[in-house]
Amino acid sequence: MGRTHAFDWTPGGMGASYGMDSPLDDPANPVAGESHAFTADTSSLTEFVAKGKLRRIDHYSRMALLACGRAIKDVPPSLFPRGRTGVILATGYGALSSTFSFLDSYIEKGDKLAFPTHFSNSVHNAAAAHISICYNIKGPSLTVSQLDMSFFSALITAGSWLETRKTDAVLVGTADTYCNVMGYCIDKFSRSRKKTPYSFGEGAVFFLVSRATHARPVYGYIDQVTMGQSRNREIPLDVDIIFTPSSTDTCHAAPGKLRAGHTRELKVRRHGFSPTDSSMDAAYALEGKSRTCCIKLGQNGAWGKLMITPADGKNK
Amino acid sequence: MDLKYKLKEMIIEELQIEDLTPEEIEDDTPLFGEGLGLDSLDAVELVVQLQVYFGVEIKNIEEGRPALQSINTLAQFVRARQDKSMDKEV
Repeated sequence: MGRTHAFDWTPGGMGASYGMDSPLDDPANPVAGESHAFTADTSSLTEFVAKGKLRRIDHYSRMALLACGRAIKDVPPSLFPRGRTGVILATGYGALSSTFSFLDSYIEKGDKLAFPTHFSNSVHNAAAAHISICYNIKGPSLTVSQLDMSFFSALITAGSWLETRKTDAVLVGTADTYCNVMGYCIDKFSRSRKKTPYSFGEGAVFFLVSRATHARPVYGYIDQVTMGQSRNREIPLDVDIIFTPSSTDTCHAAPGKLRAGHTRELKVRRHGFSPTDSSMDAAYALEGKSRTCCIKLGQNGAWGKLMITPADGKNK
Repeated sequence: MDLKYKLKEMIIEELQIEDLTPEEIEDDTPLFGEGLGLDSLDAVELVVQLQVYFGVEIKNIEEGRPALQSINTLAQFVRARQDKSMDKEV
């Protein structure tokens, strides 16, 4: 069984900076035993944040800033009350490159010569802080990290902030980055890599969510967020499903066996894996036409489930 | 290579100042505030990089404040420390 949180709130704006444009290899034809990575291009971030302010901000935070900038641009100012908006960033691993760079400098040069800039970027809440500072957002700022379940945990928190009127809007989203150490570890230690082609993904996706008070939502509704730890995922039969395996190699379950009797469309994403890639699925579902269940598997039997009704679907 | 030029290259590279070349930094431009616009985190990074690049250590604020005024004062500090350590070796 899972614990379900039912909300009546709606994403007003969406923005992504996902690594889909510059794959290191062809994602459609991965070769068993070889890894692939999709890296995100953040060069257009200067559209939202002055170049001078970006000087010490690392690639990870830049991805998050770009996704937020696009989400904010996507909404009318009335849906984005900066003084009453909170920020929640979900991440599986945080700023991996900066963390490893800091650790490398610490190991190679000693504690006195560890690089301070790498340290400041390696702090997990740095990206959320950059978002609040650069976009002048005055509400609470939070980072949650729960590996593959991070996005679901962030959504539940965002829902509670809205329900308790702690904020009127929440900029909630995800960021996870690729780095060479991760690629090396997967190649070296993955048990199923030889059987299952593996594509890494990196990127950020943000949603500006608010209570569903306006007559017609811009994108739709996030109806339910559920997290659980058992095999019974309570998968509905009458909705489309987007299925996402774990970001690790422990549970590449066959999507065809999710539930007997399911007759609607079942999609398996083709972009690279990351612990928080279910946010990309949510964005995809919100832009669709029919009610969709997004399922993400995690480690040790964990799973997360989103029920999404796009605006077009609700009005049918 | 000239010590002042090396210092300018180090600052541009390690503090990620993308819009400037070493030639565009005057020797007497203030590093902080109105000049290059560096801040306190840059100061910490500079202290670390001076040790990595030139093997000289700024031990406290009394040493750091006069040394970190400009490229001129920084070069003067590095040169003095390097001379001192050569004297010790001799």
